[in-house]
Amino acid sequence: MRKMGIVELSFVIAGVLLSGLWSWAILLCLGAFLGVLLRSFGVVRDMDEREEYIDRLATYFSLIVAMLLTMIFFAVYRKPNRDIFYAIILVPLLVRSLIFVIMTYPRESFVSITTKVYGSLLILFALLSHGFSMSFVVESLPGVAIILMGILATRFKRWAVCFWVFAGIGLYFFMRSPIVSVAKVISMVLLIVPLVLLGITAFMRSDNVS
Amino acid sequence: MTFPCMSSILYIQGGGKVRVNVRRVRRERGLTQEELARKVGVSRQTIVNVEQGRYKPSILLALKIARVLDTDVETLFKLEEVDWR
Repeated sequence: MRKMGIVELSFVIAGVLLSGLWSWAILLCLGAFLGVLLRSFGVVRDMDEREEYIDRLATYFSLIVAMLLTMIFFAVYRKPNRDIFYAIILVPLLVRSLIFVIMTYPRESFVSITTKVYGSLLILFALLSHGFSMSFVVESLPGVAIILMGILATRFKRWAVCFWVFAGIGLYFFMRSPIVSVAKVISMVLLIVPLVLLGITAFMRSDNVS
Repeated sequence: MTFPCMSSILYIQGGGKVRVNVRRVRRERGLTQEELARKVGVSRQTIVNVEQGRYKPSILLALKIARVLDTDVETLFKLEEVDWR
């Protein structure tokens, strides 16, 4: 993963976490567009022309998703709340990252990068929620399992089925209670969509030609 | 079970088709994708996509590839009659 990608991700995580303490900290999420802006002004040159094209394309799609979500929430809820704002901020950023990584890197790298980032985030959030405790160990297990699945699925395609199994288990837990809330839908989108995509991608033909 | 590769599903770049001969010429010159990519200063994945016709390079990149492969751009990229619309 590129340095700029790590910087952008750090800004988003910091923005989401700190916004609980100070709401203006959410502006840190704008750091997700730091790379695309600096590249537009020629300050950073860490991509070739195809990657820059995909980066801009992914940003364009994230705008469409953000507009779509805003309109849907406007039509359904009329009055915004904290969960809706998080959805409008995070879901387009997730779409942007997934489009960029899936179109830029070969299949193996996509699975490897996504599982490492995704698993590490789950472990990080477990750590932040519980500190170093038994609950942390239990809650970080899905993150560890996803990283392991990523390593196995890049070597043995059949292991990719586990991503769908994970997605199915996640979906079951979200669907178990009949109450549908925005927070539940956001969590579902942020957790299930990458898993389903990982499962599909891991089964795809590799681009490796001599 | 194998799906087609994702970049062919997400083929969005517009325009007509161009016959690409980069792979043939590269192999004639005995270069690997990695070596060609390094010489023109792009990622190997970009060369893969150019060779498979999924990404149409800029004039600058096409000229660089042509120079590294010691040929001209018209040999590497040919506009078919059917695409002349």
